[in-house]
Amino acid sequence: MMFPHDRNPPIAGVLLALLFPLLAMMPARLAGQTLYATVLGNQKYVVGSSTLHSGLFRSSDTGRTWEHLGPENLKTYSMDAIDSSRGRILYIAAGNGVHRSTDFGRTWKIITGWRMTEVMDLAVDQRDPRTIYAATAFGFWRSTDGGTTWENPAGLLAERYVRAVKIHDGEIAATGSDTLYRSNDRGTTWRATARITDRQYDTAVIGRWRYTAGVKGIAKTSTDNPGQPVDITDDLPNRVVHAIATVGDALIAGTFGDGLFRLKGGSWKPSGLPGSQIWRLVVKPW
Amino acid sequence: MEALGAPRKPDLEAGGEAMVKRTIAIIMLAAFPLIAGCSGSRNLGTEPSRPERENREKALRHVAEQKSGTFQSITARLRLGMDTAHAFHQLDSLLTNPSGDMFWMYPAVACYLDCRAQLDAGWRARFRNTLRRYTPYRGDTENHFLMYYSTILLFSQEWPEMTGDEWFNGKSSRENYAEAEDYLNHWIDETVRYGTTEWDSPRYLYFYITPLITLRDFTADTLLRRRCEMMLEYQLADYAAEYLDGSYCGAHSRDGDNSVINPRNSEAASYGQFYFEDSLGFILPDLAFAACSGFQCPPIISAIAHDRDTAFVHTERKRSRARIRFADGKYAPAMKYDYITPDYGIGSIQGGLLQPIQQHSWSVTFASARPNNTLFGLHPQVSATELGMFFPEEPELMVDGVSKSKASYGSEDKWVGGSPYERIFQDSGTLVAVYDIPSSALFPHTDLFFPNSLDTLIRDASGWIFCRMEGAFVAVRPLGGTESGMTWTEETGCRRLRNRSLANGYIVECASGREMSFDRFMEKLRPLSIAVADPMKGFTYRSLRGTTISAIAPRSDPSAGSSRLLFFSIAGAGRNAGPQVGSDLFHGPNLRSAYDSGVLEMRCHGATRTLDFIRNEVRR
Repeated sequence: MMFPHDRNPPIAGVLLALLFPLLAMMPARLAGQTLYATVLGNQKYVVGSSTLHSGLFRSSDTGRTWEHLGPENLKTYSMDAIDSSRGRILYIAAGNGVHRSTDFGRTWKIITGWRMTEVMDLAVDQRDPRTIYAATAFGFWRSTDGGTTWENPAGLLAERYVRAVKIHDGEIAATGSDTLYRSNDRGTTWRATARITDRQYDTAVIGRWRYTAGVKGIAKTSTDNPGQPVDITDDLPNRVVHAIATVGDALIAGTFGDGLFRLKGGSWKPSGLPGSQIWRLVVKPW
Repeated sequence: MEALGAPRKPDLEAGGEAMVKRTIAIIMLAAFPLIAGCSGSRNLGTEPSRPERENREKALRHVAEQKSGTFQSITARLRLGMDTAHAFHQLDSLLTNPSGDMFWMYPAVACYLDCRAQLDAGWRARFRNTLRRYTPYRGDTENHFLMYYSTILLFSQEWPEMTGDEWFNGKSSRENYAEAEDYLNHWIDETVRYGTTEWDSPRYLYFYITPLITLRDFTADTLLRRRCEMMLEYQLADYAAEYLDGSYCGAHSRDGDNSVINPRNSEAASYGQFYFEDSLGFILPDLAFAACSGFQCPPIISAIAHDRDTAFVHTERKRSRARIRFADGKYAPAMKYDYITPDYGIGSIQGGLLQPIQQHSWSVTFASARPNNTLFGLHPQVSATELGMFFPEEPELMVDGVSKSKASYGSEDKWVGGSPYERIFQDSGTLVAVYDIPSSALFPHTDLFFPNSLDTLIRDASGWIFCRMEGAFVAVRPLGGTESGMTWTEETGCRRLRNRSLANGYIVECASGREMSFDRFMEKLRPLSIAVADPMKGFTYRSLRGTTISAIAPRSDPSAGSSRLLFFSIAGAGRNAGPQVGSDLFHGPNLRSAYDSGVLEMRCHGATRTLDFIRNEVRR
């Protein structure tokens, strides 16, 4: 015979037992923002000649301290995550393929085969998180089962260089070498929508200011009245800025070869990962 | 059908009695001819000849005596039982701090398998644990992938029960084996049907041989093992067809700063000496693995390397490296043309950019033991677009990065590299190269390399530059520009002729002392000299052997992009710039392979050998 108060404890116990390992693995900070930095290599790196400290890094204190996640010596371009998992399910886009972690970055698996190489960007469809799009140097790929299997849709981007992929209102935008492509059918068909003529690597907005990173540093313009851009990287040791992000009210610059810098009091201060070639900075809402 | 060797298995299973067994192994090595020790219990097929056995022993001993902390030297010492304490100390270092990506992987697995009998359970576990700790980059070239996947396959085979937690990539041994097997079969199929993309490299061929030997020796799967051995033969036959007295003739996808000017010192030459000459003229570390293997180069391949009694034309069709942007299509054909004689070889591709950084588009190779036995020219192209065509990172950031690993890349004086502004045409011993360089090019000039080891170099009033090295004669007639725009520079190992005209080029004529005397060679060429101020406006030339070659001026063609296209015609028949070759992957007296056939036929002195990758068999 089962008494009413006996019904729930076993279920709660089961839930706790299931959740406990996950809770134990979760990073201490769950609220606010988490900043991820992807490091392609370092200044001394040459394929096959030296080991580098590269890969995915995570900061939960707006870029003051960094924690390395996953394999070192990983030529890493970008990352994405299933936002609803709050940092549990992470993906890395890397030279060796797509890496996936389902335990907050503690363990990783390459979920692609030899055909997918030099994966330069990933985008998880947050409305349908089992759908993932991948930009590679050799074409566009997609998965509809969380990355377990991948397909390379025939058509315009099947074998074309794709360096970035983003999702906006259900539409996919893919950046090629000099063209912006868009797809409304999950990457099955594409149309070229614009020529890319500048060499901007990244942009960020704080308040009414837009910051644009490129090979000549960071330019600041007003979002209200663009006008002439102002260079704000006079004192940055390396003016090649490949990634830029805002965390709270802080502006973080990822240089290509000298790591991260934070704009503070009108000047740039080192913010970790010295010597690194930062490819991408990603801010996540957890 | 010929039976190929069974996989090598170590004589002894190391375990609790590892030390005892290692001692027994050392005793066995001492008691038997060395090769028996190296080959383990596998089926060798035929026994190596005594000189071959002696060569292998010498090679192993030579690498062992280097005592360097490499897997190669460690392998040699463990196999010979020589200074093993130090070798194990060095092995500890390699396994504690692995670095080098796939260049660490392939000798690691070869060392492990070749020395399995010398490694006790503890050392085996060290290798196994490294697979969890160290994440190597898979790389971006054919040789990188071969090194990476051969290692993955063989270690997965060794420990089939390993779970994803035990591998750096999170995949189980079963998953890793399946992926590696699929890639290796794909690579073999693509190569034998459509042509290799990293072709005829005097430098990187070296990095194909050990992975293929190791796969040939240790793969348990009979079919894959057979295919890998056939592929090893395929690579060596490809090399042999353009081998001339220790040098790799003709055009190369990737050459080195040293080997491009001194071909007999290329990494591939180490294997040329070993397999084609039964000689140890140039021992590089990987020969330790070749010495441990039972693989014997089929006699027909070494015979092809030496079949130089008469001059012949040999053509090949390869592919460009995969082009990821700034080009039409992923692959472009690389049409190779060689004219090889007992005294020299001259070979080329059609020009253009088919490989980044290290392409070598044409050369004359002298059949001489002298240093710098070559003559060639190039436009020293340096461009972000070139790098962006083949590498995925930001083009404008790559020039500096590449210069860190390939120091000469950004130099105006470099001796390797292709150019989009280069068009080359060859007919037997006559070669025409034309350059249409935009003023925006970083280095708007061409350079010709004349080795200091020539017997004679005459700057003749006719405009020809006559050269002789032993029994080979070469004449070069610069086209375009003025005398003042051309400068000679004396350098270590060579004289450099620089032509600063934007539209320039040269005609190269070759002949052998068996055909005529050097005086006669000069006499015949002097009347053939032509003055061409701007080769891009077209010209006609009647060659030393009487062929009329016309360079036809390009039409204005904006779609040509990086360069206007110059058309050539021979004896009145028009055709695109580039050697006139058929579509065969190989076409010559010694090698034949039709495009997409997957079959390579070797012929030499009445003997034949066919590598049939469709039926996966070797026929004689």
